[in-house]
Amino acid sequence: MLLNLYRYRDYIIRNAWDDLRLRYAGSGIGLFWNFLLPLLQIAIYTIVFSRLVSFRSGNAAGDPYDFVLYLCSGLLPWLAFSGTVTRCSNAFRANARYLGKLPIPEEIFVAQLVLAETFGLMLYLLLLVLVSLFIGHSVSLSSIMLPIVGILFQIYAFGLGLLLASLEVFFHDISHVLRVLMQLWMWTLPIVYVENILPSWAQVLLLGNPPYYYLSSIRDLFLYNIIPNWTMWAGMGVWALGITLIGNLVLHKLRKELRDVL
Amino acid sequence: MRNEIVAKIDGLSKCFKVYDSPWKRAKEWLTMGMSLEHKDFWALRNISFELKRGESLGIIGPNGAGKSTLLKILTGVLYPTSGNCVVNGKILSLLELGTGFNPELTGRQNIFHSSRLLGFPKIYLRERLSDIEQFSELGEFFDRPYKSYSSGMRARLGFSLFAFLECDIFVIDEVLSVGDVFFRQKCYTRIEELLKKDISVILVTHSMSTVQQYCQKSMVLNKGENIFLGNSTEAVKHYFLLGQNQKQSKIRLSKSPQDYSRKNRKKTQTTPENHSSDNFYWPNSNAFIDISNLQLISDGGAKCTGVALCDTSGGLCRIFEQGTTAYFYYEFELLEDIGAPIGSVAIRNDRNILVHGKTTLQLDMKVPSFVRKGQRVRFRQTIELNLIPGDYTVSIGFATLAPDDYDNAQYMSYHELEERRHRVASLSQITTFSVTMRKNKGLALTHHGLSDLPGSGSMQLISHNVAFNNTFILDETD
Repeated sequence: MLLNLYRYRDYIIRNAWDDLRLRYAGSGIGLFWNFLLPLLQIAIYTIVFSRLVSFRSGNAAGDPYDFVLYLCSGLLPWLAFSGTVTRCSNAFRANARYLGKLPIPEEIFVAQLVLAETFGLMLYLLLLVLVSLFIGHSVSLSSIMLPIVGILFQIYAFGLGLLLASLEVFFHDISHVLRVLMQLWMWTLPIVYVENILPSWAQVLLLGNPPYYYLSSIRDLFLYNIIPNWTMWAGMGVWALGITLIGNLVLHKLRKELRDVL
Repeated sequence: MRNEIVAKIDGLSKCFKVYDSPWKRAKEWLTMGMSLEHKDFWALRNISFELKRGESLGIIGPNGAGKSTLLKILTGVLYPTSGNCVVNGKILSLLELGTGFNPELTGRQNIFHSSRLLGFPKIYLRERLSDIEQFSELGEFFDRPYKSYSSGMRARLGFSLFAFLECDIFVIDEVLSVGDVFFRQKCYTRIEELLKKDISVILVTHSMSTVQQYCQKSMVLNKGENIFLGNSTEAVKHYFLLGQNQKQSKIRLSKSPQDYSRKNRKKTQTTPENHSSDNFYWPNSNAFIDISNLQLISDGGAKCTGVALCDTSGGLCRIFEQGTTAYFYYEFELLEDIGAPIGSVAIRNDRNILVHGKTTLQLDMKVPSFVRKGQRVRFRQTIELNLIPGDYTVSIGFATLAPDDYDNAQYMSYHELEERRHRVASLSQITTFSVTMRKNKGLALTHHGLSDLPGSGSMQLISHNVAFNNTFILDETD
């Protein structure tokens, strides 16, 4: 698989770039929408949660922006992740016209989506840092490690996408069911709410919930200047590699039949 | 190099699993195959062939015969269920050309995009870009978005790209039917160039003349099975037999001969006397060609019992001067009762292009309305060889029409007639003959180009001096 990805690296990179470029093709400011949309999203959360609704995050001392930063640092990475998985889930069927005619490896279509979305995630993280500076918060030095966590998170998304895309060719329902499931999944994670309002048994359960590792590492780095401990790193690595291996295995198993159906 | 095998297909079969619904598939998977819920659909069964370097193979067959499946397996898009498919070298496929192009990108960008998809490096393409641009004749459209292209332009862009990428096997799937005639000619020239460069070509098409012209051998597929593999001209005959077996067998004398005799006939006649008149010349036995080694393609309705090619004297002849008349004699013995008989002669040139073909129906002659089993039908056809000097081959065919259809043939559309005509037997490449320049009379050549077309000419000379306003009329030449 790695060999295939390497061989088609040109194609993957080029297509990911086209994806970003052409997503807003024909609009007035084109590529710039990629920056503007997440910025507006952050702006909306800022206005809603600092002016209209008054929430207090766990250890906030009363600063109205604290909850905004807490929310954004969890929600934005999650949105990037769930967007990646949802888009990947029908990657093979969406590219059936290529897969049905050319002997190209299937995984490159998942890879190109993940790459484009990873770019989006990096942009989110960058904007997060910029916004935080703008509203007068200091940004911790550990934030430079954010991209590493982001990449691990996207590798996890890649593996999951590979698995789902392979199955979705046979069961189209998957991509529809996934929209609902991703919503549900989000509420099992401390993204909108604060982790310590959960009962203790639920907090233990979180350790079995892969995205928790990535999301909580991002917050630790960004908000609290804490470098994740080795259990967190191990959790992130194991889940990312594990699911990628499983996805690859399933794809290999189904590859022959998959082509017949496309 | 030349005899190197670039593709070898051995006992290849392909089966698609057909499930009624996704639930059935889920059930089969979850029970680990204990409960089989699918039906098998065999798209290909036991196909074998070899393709040598520089060789061209045609694949023909009705829709749904498995041609595309075979190509997809060859190109590695699909995997065979059983059997082997070995391809040595790079194989490029023109499968449904242009579907891989992105409508938002320009022609140039699409060329880069597609070649990346096919695994060619950028530098490689840069070297060929100007060739591609020139070949496509797109002009300024080359840098406009693909979505603004006409369908002909799309085909041009696609073919231009594929024609300049390096490969060992070039697969062309029914794409050259689009585009204007000039571009098509260019494509075929390019295919010939590729063949000369020792690139193998696999051509899938419904155009029988294309197959005969470009393919050294052809394969006829029907319902996933290989019906025939060999000489392209014969393959085409097999293909035509296929189409009629399904719907046409009943055309043979659905009524008894007596039913036909009651009616007042124009062309077909029930009294056989007219056809055995004494002045029907038939050459003697040494003029006949040995056809025992030739393979008769037949539905079992008749066999060929003799073919002769003679000159005006009635003796055997193989070399004709341009403009002289060739006499074709051929005879079929009926193994089953048929309707009105139709004979045909076809002349092909060294490139296997059908130069001239004529059926006795087109000659507007009187024929019996039916022929009984055991009877023999003799045909005599003359053709004036107004052809360019060169070598030609002869094929003959034998077909039948129901008597009613025969009488009404002139009122039928071409397709109607084709559908009703039942091909009984044919024999291809029976013999070769040569056409030479004229030696003793007039100019050595009566015309240039493939064939002579009837025509005339005149000339006028205009001078400043009005007195010389004479008109020279040239004699009409044939």
